[in-house]
Amino acid sequence: MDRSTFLARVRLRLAQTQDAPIPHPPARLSALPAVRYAGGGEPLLAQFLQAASDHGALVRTAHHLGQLTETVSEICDRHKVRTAVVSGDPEANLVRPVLGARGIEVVAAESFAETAEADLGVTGATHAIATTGSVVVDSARAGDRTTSLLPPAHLAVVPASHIVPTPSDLWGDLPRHYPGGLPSQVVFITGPSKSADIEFTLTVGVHGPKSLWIAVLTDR
Amino acid sequence: MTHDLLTGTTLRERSRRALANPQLQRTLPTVADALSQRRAQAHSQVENYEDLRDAARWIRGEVIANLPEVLEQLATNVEARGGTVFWAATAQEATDYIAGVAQERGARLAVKSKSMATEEVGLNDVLDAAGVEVVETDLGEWIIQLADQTPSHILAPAIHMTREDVSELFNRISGGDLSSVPADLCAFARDQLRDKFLTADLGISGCNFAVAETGTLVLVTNEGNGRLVTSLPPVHVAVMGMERVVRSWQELDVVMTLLPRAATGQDISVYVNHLTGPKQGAERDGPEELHLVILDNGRSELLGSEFQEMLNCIRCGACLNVCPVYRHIGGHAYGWVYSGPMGAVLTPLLHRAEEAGELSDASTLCGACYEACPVKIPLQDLLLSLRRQRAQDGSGMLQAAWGAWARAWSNPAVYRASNRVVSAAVRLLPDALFPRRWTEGRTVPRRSGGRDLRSRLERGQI
Repeated sequence: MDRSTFLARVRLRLAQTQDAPIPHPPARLSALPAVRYAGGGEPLLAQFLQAASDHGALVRTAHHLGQLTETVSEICDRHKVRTAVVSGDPEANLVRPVLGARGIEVVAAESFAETAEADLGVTGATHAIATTGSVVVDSARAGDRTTSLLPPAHLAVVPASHIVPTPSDLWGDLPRHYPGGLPSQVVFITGPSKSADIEFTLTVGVHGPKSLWIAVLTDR
Repeated sequence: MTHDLLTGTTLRERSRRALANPQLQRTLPTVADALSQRRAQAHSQVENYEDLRDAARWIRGEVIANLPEVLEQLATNVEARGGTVFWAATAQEATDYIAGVAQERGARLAVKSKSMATEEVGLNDVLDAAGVEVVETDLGEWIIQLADQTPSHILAPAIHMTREDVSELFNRISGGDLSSVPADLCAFARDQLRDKFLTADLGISGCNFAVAETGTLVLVTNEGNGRLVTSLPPVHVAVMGMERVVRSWQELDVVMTLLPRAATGQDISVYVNHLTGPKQGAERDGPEELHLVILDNGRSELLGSEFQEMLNCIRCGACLNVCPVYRHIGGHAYGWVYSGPMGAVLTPLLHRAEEAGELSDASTLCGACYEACPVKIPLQDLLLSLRRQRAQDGSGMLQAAWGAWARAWSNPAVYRASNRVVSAAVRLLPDALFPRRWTEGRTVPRRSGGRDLRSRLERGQI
């Protein structure tokens, strides 16, 4: 059905509303209330670290490149990483030489299968959210949607200055944060992939990464 | 997945089956309780939760009252970003269109993330008939697809099955010897479905919300299948009930704060995916085509009626978990895609089968659903309205019976006589003739003298 016929039908039905008033008319609002999150007295970084960890992410802070190197080493040891894919985010590029120094091959994946075969995916994050411990990855800045999705482990490197207090700071006006236009995908990632579909038992890593690592770059 | 259990069965038959399923009876209340408790905790993380419910009710009501304008804006913005919008007045228009898209691309394999709208239109059967294999990728949905069953809970579709059931099912397709440890079962599913994702020609998803002002589709999942379905295949088709739209990001903020809390008691879903158009120039992946199917399929019939507010529903499932009826009979007994109080209202309104009407009986009208509803739909009032409609539209038997009863009992002599008959019947009739089960746990008081209230009042006894 074409747009005008479809909408004309809807208009016609709505026009009857006057005859059959809705029994519970919602009260007219002068302004939408802002979402008020409980707590929030602590510094954003502390809140973020706690929340991300509560949601199952493995969180480290790095004041300088040496500390970032330590975190990468820890990840590589833990997951026996031999190959990695790295997104186009500027923070992710910081990790390239660190991986190289450890003899990890950074694969320039040319197919989803190659990305999926990598042991680790490294991205940056345009934002992070203190109350939920989320990292925000966008397809324009990262250059793809799958580095953070297909490998079994994901490392997101996020500067502390990117942390916003609550999800509302982004949802309330997401386009404002992307002055060049919204990327085709903006994803808020909170913890590793989860499912409770078998006997309501929580299991991680069903489709997305089993492990989410977050390295927060703090000011010196 | 698109099985319609409504036709040819009664609510009573389906309920009996559910009550006789020990696994369902064991897990259903546990899951429902866990989800409800988490919901209560998640509320406390937001200080003005009640204000937000009121706001959400207003937001949804206002959008529905101005739906043509809002949908027009959405469509214009989706198209401006290179997406294609299809307006489907009926289920068949929707499925024909999607089958056409599949055919045009020569698609053989489609991967799907959980979507009630696609189940409502019976998409899987249509694609199957068109030679396209459709694979459900939500773990629970995949399990019941393999088992050829239907969801028993909208968020936990396979909770009526034990881990042993799942292991047996997986071993049947793998020919292997999987344990029944959930982590192993999940790992197996991940491997199997990975192959499907990597080779699928078509990705099909629903849509939790669309934001009209930018043409953005918002999709939440915890497993990540929603991201895979919308990122890997060259074509993404999103099917959206025409009411699932908000005007602005500010409105989205309110409803997205409520949705995960009401649904699973999470403060945020693991993946909240905001999709605006297909892939753009510099991006290395993402679908080349994005199709948004906006579905009416009977929804416009609710507009301008006393059931209009049902279109405010955001499909969170909170009303299911608190419903004393749902907690006993589970999703299958409702016979179709939608279950619990929202299903008891929506199914009779959207499903054409005559059998759907009796679903409004699947409620105690206790109002727990309204208390749980994040957008404050007065579900118990709507259920009552459906019952009233059905009584009025019915053969008149029910009305005649109640009318006769009212007339008889307004006459004191007839009232007294009927009491004596019933008292005697309870004592004298053999068990076979009297519905003992109905009176188990209750006693009929022996009446001495059979004085009714009115005559006692007239004698000055009270």
